[in-house]
Amino acid sequence: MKIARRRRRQDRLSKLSDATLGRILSFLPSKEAARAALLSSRWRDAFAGVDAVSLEEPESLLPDYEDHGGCGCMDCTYGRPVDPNPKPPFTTAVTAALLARHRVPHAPAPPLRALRAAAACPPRRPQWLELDLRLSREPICNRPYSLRAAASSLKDARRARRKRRRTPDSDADEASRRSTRKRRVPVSDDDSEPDYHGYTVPRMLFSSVALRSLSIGPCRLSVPAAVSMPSLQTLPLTRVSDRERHVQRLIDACPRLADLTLEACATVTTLCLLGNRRLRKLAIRCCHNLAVVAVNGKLDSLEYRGAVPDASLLSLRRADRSSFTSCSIDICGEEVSSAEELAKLGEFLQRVASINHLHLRSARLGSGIQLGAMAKLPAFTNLVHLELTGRLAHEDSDAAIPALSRILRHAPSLEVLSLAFDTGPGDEELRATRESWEDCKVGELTNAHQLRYNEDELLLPTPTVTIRCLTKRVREINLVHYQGGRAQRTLVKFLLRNAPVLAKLYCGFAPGPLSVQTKLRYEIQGWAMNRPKNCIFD
Amino acid sequence: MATREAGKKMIMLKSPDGMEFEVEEAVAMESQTIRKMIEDDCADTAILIPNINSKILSRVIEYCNKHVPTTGATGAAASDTVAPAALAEDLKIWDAEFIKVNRATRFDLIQAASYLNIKGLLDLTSQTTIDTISDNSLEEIRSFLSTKNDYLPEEEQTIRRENQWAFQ
Repeated sequence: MKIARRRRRQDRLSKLSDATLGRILSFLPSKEAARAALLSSRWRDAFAGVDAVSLEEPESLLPDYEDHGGCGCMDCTYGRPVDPNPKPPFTTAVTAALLARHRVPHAPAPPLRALRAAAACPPRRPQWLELDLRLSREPICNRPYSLRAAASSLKDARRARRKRRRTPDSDADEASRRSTRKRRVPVSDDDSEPDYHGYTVPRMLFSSVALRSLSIGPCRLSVPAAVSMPSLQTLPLTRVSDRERHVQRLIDACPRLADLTLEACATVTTLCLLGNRRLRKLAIRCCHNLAVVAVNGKLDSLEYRGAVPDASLLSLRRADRSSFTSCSIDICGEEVSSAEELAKLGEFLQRVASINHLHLRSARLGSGIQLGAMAKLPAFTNLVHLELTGRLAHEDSDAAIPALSRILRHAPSLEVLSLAFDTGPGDEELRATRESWEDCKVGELTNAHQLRYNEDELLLPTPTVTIRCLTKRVREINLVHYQGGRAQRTLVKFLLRNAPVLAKLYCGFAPGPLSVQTKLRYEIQGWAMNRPKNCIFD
Repeated sequence: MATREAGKKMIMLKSPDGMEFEVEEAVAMESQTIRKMIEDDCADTAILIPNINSKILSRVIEYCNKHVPTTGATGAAASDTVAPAALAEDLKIWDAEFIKVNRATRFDLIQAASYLNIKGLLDLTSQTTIDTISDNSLEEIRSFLSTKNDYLPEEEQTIRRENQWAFQ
């Protein structure tokens, strides 16, 4: 059978390379091109080589113009009896087509030359169109969280390697750093490579009247001179390589912009949002060169990730500060410990003192709030929900309680406290730093877990202090990724022993054997003062 | 390498069946593959073009000759008399005439254009092929391409599932 097939006249096109097959398929509408996978196994992954995506929304067979003036497409069927098997929205197909190009892992898709997506709705009826052009999922920042050497005295070398501390003369570290560097080669460095030669966004996109949400990156926008996006509300930009003024021009052209996200846009140093009066949510992640953001509207929430922000980063009118309710600050990279950086952080917090919800994430839980250097911790008079994320290593238990009690003293109306304990570098990073599976014993892998419980370990006596919000107001405590260990146990004991009005307690354990989880759970239940009604262990 | 006129470099292209073609360097550089060879100084005597027989190679050279951007004195004169739009129109008609070949030749041209990396020719040949096969059933396309369906029924189901968006 096989021989017979080989003797047939050879299919000449099949001899071509994958890239050429993709080129040929690019001339077809994308749906037809994808269906070519059915031709034969040679064509199966040919779609990955396609460099032009073109889709048209099929018109519905029975357009119903009468009762609501819609055109019969998916988005105009409001008020109609619900179809039990509705067609997925058109945008899903666009996203699926764009993703299908990336399905073959060993053959990276060629840069997109053209994208054409024609929706069936007539333009006079504004439709909500969302377009997701996030083209790859690279890590946006290469500043891993790490604790300073002085604070951690980890014994075994492997753990030290995992943490990738910056001690130049340690061999293990050098090896690990080299391996990280190797792993991150495809990620362009934030500072050194401003022009990411990847995708260029089709110009048509910038005059789209109907587009409501646009997620792009990594790419070059090349914003044309005439840009108008009157309905755009959500705009996440990731690793956009254009000059600052081009990004600014795009943002200026979106009068309805409500939700703006900038991720790893290294070119942007100043961002002027004075024209975007409807802006409510602003997220800035790892734009390490951004120094000033001028905001005019009534901003609700700010999310910041990067180095310690300057107090001058956010210029907000005093009158608008009252509307500001939620703030998330995530300090990536090394632990903050220098006096000036802590002072800077304190000053920035002063700017956002009126918030209801604060999320503070840093390499170490509490990020040095207890230290004298942070002289200016403001009074968060409205703060209701405080979230802290960071590592609390098993060994150091002396800093966490002072840090937490200091911030709690400054938040008299706090009701919800959430602590998320980071576990350091994730499994994947761990796997990558390890040379091979063979250099670790079987037991190491199967018994690897993060729970620590030692019955005989003496916990430090919890200080008896009165923190007003803790005794009077805190009703809910959430612990995420609780690992036990002396530091975390001491901290949790301190909190629970001082929280008499607690009504809800949630504790999610880090992965580990059930027996240890159970012991930790009984211990926590014993600490809780008057048995909170709602106790969830996970 | 020979020099016919002053200022115009000539390149020798050889097909595997022994034919030699002398073309201007600018014409040969329409092919990105050859351009790279010339730029890397790998083209001192003659360039052997593997896999492309003399019949196809002569057609490819014909295409490149027509499409080489006219520069220098003659080019300036040409653009003075003929408007660029008319020139483009002319080229289009010429292309349409050029591609009127049988199926086997066209597939060979695609292969040659792909190997030599001549964007214009690859676009032209691909577009023509696509025009012929689009709107046909899978079976018709298979027979046109002389491809055999080598999938098991289950495999076919998997592919349909993987590309569900394309079958809706």
